[in-house]
Amino acid sequence: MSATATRPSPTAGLYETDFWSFVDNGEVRMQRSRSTGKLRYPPSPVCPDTLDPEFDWVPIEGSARLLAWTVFRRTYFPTIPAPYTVVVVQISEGPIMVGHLDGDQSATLRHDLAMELAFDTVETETGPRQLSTWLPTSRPTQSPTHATRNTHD
Amino acid sequence: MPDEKRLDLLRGATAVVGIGETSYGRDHAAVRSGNALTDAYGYAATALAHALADSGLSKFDIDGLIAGPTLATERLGEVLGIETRWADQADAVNAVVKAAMAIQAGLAECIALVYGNDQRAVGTRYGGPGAYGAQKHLAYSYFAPWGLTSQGALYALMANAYMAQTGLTESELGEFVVAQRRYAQLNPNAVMRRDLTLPDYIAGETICDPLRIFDYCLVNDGGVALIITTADRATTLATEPVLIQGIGRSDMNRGATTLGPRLIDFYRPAHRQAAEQVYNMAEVAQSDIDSVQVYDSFSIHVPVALDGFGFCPPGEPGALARQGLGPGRRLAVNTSGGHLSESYMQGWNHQIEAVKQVRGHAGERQVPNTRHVQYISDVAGKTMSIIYGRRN
Repeated sequence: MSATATRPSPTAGLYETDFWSFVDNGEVRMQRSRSTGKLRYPPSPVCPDTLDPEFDWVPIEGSARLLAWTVFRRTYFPTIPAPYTVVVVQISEGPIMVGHLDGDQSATLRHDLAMELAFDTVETETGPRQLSTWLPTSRPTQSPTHATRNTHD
Repeated sequence: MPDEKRLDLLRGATAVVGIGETSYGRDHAAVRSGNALTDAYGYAATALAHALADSGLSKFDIDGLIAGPTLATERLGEVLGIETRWADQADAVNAVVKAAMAIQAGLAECIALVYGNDQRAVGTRYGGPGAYGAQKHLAYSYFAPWGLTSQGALYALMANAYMAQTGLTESELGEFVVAQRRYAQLNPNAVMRRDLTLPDYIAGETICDPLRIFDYCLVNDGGVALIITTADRATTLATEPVLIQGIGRSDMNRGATTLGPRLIDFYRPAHRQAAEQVYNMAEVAQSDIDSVQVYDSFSIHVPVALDGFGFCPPGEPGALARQGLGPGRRLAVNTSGGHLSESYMQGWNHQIEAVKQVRGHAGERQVPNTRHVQYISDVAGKTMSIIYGRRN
């Protein structure tokens, strides 16, 4: 379903542009502060600890733990029909990210579950794009069309 | 750091001398049947007229105006015909604090705080495209590509994590909801006054797991107004002044967009700081608090805030449910029915209920011998608390 459901476009912004270019290439990269070495997300202009504007875009490792989830039982975006599951994970480097799973996946989820980065191909208002998501680690992919596994060398 | 000596000077320096509100229940029925009675400014004007009558003041005594977030301050002043020496715009609790600050600073003497909302008639959306509030909180819009929208969903995520950590059960959460309905049944002005049992609550439609329809606040139209002046001026008026005795505030901003404060901290650091500040400033112990009014856009706010502020042993909100909630029980919470059952006036109706309780004017839902009422809100981790009380 996710390959055909049209998603709202990502938030626009100066630092968002580069972030989403990396996603379109099948990578999640985050800004690493040159003064603290910490990653930050969502993209922003300065290090929240030192206000240093210098950073490097570095790929995240792709593993996380599950913090929380909810199953939407009402449809809020006409092109994303309920039910669907939203997961919120804390990646190994610290920042928190969100993922989308089709249907009610709650039976497969538990707190602190190991999760791994994956990519969906979704339709947006501005055309098809990649969108990151998070799946329970070592779970078979839901369907051949659902997720493109991100492979790290 | 907040300065305790300067806060000492602010304690009890200002007082609420007038309150007004519209007829939530009556208006909800009319709007539901398709009649837009008036607009947001009209509800606001009705509420102010009631507050002026309540205080015995005239419109010409008002030299300051604070508009709720749904109204433009200039347009409100124009509609009400008030020229001001001081004006601002704020949500409910910040409006009270700003009024106290302006009066204490000597910038105005008598400030009207005015709110009006026609959200139901105009179809305000709280989720999906164009969701309300997204300009203030990036989390409300940032996750749209993943289908994560609506403040209800953000609180459902918080409930998911909080209930797992504390063991709070769905039935215990439901006890908070049905208790507020029982208070609303004693409130002639409340919107929702039908019986709501725990089985009714559990059978309610799930919107975003684990939150059900009865965990979500109302969407209704109405207006609220308060008049605040100096404590000295208040003693010349007929109504018993309700003093602003304590203020507490602590904001969690870091990681706000990606929900860390909600899902990892449950706002507890902010709760602790705001609690310490408000009780110290008011010179009141928690055991002196006769009722607590908690901003409840979603039911989960209530156990989370009571837990964080220390009304139960840490991480044991279920203990409050098991002790028993509702009229006549030990801990009186949201005694008007709150946002869930009285009216969704974005915290404004909680201030009105606090004042009524301190005055002893809350009718059948009055908590006996009330001297102090505490208000708490922690929307998106910006935690604020006010203690209202009687003059000694």
